[in-house]
Amino acid sequence: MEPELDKITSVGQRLVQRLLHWRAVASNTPHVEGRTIAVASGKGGTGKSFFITNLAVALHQSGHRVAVVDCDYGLGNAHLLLGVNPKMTLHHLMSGVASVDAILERTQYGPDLVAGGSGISSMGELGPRHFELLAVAFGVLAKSHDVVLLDCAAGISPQSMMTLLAAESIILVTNPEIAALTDAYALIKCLARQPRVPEIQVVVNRVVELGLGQPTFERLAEVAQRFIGRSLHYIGEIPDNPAVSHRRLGQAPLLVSHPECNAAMGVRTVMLAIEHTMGPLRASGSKKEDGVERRILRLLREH
Amino acid sequence: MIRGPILPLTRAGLWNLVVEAPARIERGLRLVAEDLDFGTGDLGNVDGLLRDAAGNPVLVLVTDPSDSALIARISLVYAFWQRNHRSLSRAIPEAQMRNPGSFRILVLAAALAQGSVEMLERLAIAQLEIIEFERFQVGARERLVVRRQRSNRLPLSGQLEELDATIDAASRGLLSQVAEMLCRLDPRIRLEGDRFSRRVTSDAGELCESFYADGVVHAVIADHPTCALNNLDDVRGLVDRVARRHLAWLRSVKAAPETAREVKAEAVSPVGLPRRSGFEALSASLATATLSREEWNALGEVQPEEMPRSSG
Repeated sequence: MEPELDKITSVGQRLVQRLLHWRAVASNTPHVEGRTIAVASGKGGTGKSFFITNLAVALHQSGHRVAVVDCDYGLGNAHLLLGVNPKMTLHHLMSGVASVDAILERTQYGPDLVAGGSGISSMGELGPRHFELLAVAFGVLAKSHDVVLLDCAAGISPQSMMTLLAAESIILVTNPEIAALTDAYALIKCLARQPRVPEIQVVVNRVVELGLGQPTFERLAEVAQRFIGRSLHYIGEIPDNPAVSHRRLGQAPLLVSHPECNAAMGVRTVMLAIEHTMGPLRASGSKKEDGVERRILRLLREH
Repeated sequence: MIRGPILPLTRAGLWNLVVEAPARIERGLRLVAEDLDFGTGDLGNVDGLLRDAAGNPVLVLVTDPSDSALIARISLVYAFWQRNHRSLSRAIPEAQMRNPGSFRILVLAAALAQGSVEMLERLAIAQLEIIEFERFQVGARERLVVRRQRSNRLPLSGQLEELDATIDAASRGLLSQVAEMLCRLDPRIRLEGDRFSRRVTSDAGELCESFYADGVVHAVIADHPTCALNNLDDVRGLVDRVARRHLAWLRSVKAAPETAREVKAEAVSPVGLPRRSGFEALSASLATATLSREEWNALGEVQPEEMPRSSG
């Protein structure tokens, strides 16, 4: 019997060794994740959705794997701008009836899209449990894309703030008008009161006169620095263009329909500025603790 | 201080400028021989034979207002080269002429009277180009303007000349791609160039120059070695480098008061409130997101009747 027992023991040992080896290999595998960028605006109608869809197309055209997540949980419209009629949205994900892979739509212009819950009022009542599901979904998207763009709802609600804080960097879209500036500042003021606020980059949209973006930003940055001690980063301006304001439903994004116009060039320049500020917009190895999933869970746990 | 020329450029002085740097006239020009006698006798010799970026011969005649034999000299040189270009290309092997029959005659002058220009136009020689050199001083330094007065082949549009017809389609495409991509980056970027090169400049100075020479398109970014552009990937790489350089300049111009890291290092909220997190803290943030009169004034420089509450 002894030889048999020895044999069994050695087989068991080898199995344990193999399992231990597998665990060691698994734990040594680097955590690869793309960059998560949230796009926000204090006020509605600043051209945030226009900006994010065209930024996504620009990134796709320059060889990045891009996913847009429409985090306007109540009134998402990114699917309209990207020419998608989604069968499933974030609502299905957070109801637990669909995985993130199932709700991910590939658009004809290149970027992938997770559509928001258009017209669903209950989406504005999201709680911590929903954000746990979102955390996992964002983590999955970040692993399979170079850039995940989170299209946050305008204004300041706990849901949109939570989404902003989950990102690695925040792009704030504003206009030169005073109403847009004050609301952008209010958003920055709210963010400044949170721990671990991502870097805030500012883009000035609908600039009627070339170079007007810079003084607009300077005014906002100066007030943010003076009153809340927060530094902002300017990443450029996008000129006002009739090709944008006269767009109709179903038209291709500006970078596809009018790739040579000044607004399209503005988006491309902003894309380069983002890369200049954040470094290469590529999926890269990082600590899992620094990933988007862990960031959201940490925010919820701290609560 | 900018001043006009103090002493007019003499013919010898003009020719010295060409010898020192032929590229002042056109990118890729190279001096082959000086003072050639093409049977013009007492009318004067051809001041120089140059080779352009495409390997075509370029004959240079320097003139001044007292040069009454210019028209005759041009006619004789033109006829002589037309008759003998094959033999001449063999006689001057160091010129490495690719197509000696496709030649140009450049007339260099410090200043030409309008009457002289009209007379040259009446010659109807397609290969004739007139180039004016003009000196001026900025501070204590002398600068030079090179102006293309007239080109029978292709008219100038601002400072941008159309690409030479001898450049092959692939190289022409690469040169155009570089220019197009760079101009898309920023509407303030300007494009200029001669028949063999495209220079991209901004307010920061020259960003990049791409040029054609002997069948290959090259590019040079200021202070960097020249690189060859063989395909669209090379062009994209170049544009990427130029874009980064341009953005770095833009950022250096714009004020960057402090880095985000310095702000993150602050343990306490700069507004003096204890930091909270999660939904509770987020909701609390909304309640306090009102703008003070000072903040409102600083943003809008107006005095509102009522304190507005930010939209949510």
